[in-house]
Amino acid sequence: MVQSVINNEYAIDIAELRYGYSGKTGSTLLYLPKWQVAQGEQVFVEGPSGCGKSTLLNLLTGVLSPDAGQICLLGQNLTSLKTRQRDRFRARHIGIVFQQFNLMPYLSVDDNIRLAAHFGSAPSEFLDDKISTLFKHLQLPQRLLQQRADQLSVGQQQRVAIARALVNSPELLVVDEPTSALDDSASQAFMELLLAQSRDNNSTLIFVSHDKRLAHGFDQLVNLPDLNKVVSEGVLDAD
Amino acid sequence: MLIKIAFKSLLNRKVTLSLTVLSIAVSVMLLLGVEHVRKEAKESFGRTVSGVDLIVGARTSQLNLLLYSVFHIGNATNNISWPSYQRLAANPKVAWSIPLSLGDSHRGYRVMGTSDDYFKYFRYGSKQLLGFVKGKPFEGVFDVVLGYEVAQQLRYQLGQKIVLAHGLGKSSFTKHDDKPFRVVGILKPTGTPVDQTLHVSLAGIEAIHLGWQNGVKTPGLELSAEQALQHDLRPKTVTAFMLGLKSKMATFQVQREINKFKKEPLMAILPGVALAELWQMMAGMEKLLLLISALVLIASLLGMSTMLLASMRERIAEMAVLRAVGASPWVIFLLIELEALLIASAGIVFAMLGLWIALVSSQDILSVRFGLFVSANLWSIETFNLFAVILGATFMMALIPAVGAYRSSLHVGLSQRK
Repeated sequence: MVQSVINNEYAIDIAELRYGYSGKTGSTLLYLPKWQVAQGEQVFVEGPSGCGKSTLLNLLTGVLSPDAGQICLLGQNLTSLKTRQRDRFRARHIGIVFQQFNLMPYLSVDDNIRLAAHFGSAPSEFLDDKISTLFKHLQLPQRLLQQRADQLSVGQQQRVAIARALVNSPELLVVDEPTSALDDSASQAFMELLLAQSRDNNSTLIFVSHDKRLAHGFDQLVNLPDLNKVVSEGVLDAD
Repeated sequence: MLIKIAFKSLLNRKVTLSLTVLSIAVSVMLLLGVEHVRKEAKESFGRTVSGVDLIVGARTSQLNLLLYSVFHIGNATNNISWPSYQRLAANPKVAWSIPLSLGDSHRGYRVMGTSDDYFKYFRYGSKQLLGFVKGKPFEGVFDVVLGYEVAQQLRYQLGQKIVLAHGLGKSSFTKHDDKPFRVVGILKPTGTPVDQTLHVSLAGIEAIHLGWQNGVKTPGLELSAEQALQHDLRPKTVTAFMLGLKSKMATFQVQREINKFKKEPLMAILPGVALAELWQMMAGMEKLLLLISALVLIASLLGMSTMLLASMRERIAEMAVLRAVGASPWVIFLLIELEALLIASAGIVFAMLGLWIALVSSQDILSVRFGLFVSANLWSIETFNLFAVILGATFMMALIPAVGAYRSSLHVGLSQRK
């Protein structure tokens, strides 16, 4: 694996990142000249829908490759990795929680979590303990493990998603509007658990949402439209 | 892990899954059935005569002669007079001869008049002689030797009296009920039409037709069995006869002599050559059947592809989850292929089961009606080759949805909507 260490202190170090360049219109979707997040920081990325949030998430997690520029995660230059190496890096070092659909509906909750462990090549000896500890911390009853994922309530599913994202103890936790399907009190509880768990795990947390009310408790609040210089260059952004 | 996901994902779509599996099972059954019956028919036909150098009958096509004399399919066009038979059989190049007289039946099974040379010289399979389970060859005029299946199916025992019917219908109205036959022997199973045949002496055939003219009983001329025995029971005609020669080298010479026989228009055929002609005639048909069943299989595999492709739309979110936990696009590709192969394998299993049941239940009909002995044993190298081909075709067909899933998981990324 190519180790091109730029700065080990940063969990995220983005430089001159461009994506979605279209030769026809000469427009770019996303342009981040510089963005750094220190390790262990909990960052709230705010922005209305359509400002390039999901593109940023795809780039951060190495699913998409930028057209230009660099993304370094934990000192690893993602752009220098092959697709397969990026997939492996994601499996080991990044936990992801989506808006709503986080679990394979026809697998048991236990299998869903083991799936992440499987791709992250986590040692299986302490896996049972690990899962049961995570469940305890996330206030999920152990009996849910044997149920099919689609039998759980949405709130339970989202908490299982945190467990799934944390099972490989990733350095980076990327979360995308996870509370949009939850009511206020449930989303409050979810946020508390998420922040506490990511802190316990020493994970850097990138939380993306359009809802500023959830920003309470984060170390840093970033406004994506401020960061994305495409708009300021005068080109309309289309997500 | 991947197999588990593929398996559970399929089980999650039970209705579409079972329909797809069913359609594949039916088409595989068709393909496998055509292949199997074709192979078995050849083998069963091939093992029916062995060691017979020439078959002689009235002029007809060589195929017709072969079919009615050996396989008891169809009918003779004409008979051979007894003196002609005797003259030809007396040829110094002939080692042995077996006369055959056909035309009567017993409850759907054919009755064949012959001489006791039949039990001495007739060979089947790999040159095996006929053997007896019970009893011995016929001696008296009203003795009958049963083929194995006849005895089994009709539950006949030694010593039992049975009545032969004129003609070949299963429910013939003209019965030779005035002259019952006694079962004196039951042959060992051979897997050839012999099993389906009742064997009597030529004199027996002659005796039951005494007082008959043009195939019907003549009123006033009926004779009892005892009276019949007083008559001259030397046969007047035979339907066909088989020849064994002292030297194979003489085969063509003897054949020519018979074909040129002045007193009667006769023909002699080499069973192997006639069989080859039969296969040649069937070859086009076989290929057509094979082509049709292959096309049916492709159609059902396309159906499976369509099913997988349609499911991809609702599975975009699932794929995003897999990508999120670190599955590469190749894993997605493999997952779809695996699902396809699981479907096809299930189809194959059901096809084997269905075909086996179909064969076991139709074995009797096939052997009685068509003289075809088809074993229900489907395991052979060819079958496994066929499975490999089917799975290969499945893989190819599943490329359509699998590549689609691969590409979309690469470009759509973690988006859960299309």
